[in-house]
Amino acid sequence: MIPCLLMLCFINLNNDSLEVNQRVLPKTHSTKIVINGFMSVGLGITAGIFHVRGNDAYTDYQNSTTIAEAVDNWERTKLNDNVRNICAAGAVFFAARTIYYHVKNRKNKKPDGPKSSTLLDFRYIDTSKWVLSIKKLF
Amino acid sequence: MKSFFKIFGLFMLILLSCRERDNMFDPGNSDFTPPPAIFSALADSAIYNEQWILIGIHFTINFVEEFEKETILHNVLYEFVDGIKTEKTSFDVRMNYGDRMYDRDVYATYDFGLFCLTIYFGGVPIGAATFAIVDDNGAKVIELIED
Repeated sequence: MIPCLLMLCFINLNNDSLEVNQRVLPKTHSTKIVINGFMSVGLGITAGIFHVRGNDAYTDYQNSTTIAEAVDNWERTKLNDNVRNICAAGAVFFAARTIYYHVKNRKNKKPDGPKSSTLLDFRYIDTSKWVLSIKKLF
Repeated sequence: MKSFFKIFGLFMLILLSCRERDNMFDPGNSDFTPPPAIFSALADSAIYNEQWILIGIHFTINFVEEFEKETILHNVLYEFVDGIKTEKTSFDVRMNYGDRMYDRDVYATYDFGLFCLTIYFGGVPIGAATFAIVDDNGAKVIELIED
């Protein structure tokens, strides 16, 4: 009797090796998080640099004393502002992607399956016998 | 559809380059107002010290209309020596709304020869007062040069 029970317990413990559908390992996005993070920081720094350059160009424009000087300094200000805006938009875009992949990574780490599990499984099988087995915890 | 919203958001950020054009010499400025035309620019009179030495010249510049906006005019006094124009001195004049003329005493060492006071707005010459310093019985006097 006792060896039979132990045999049944052994079979239930190894139940997962008999499963047809093997559990697939979740996909991680760590590389994408790192790359997008670096892109976001790099573009943010670049936007800051061009913001300072644009401010200097605008100060020069306000202090211009000739028409040609004012027009040149204004064109320089516009150029620096446009590059700043493009870099800032790119930084926001890549930051959003970083957060998106980070959240996706966190979701993938959570296992699938039933939320509740039983430690002991006590069943009545059709041969008028009770079987006590230990189920694998999730 | 997702790509559209991403690109749309980027474009919105790009359009936000807000800086106001705020320079009186910038023709693209919405408040840009050129100065009125010059009616006359003359070296009126000479200024002498007690030893009767020419030390300065009084200039008077009249405009056709009143100024519509505060404007800065740059004045440069040139001296022609052997046909070569050299800058002798320069000064700025701030014209306020409603002004129609200005005058200035320019003190410098004036040798015999040709002189020209040029008035600039934003680096563009808008008028000039040309005169010569000639000898009159041992004294330096102004002789206006007419076109």
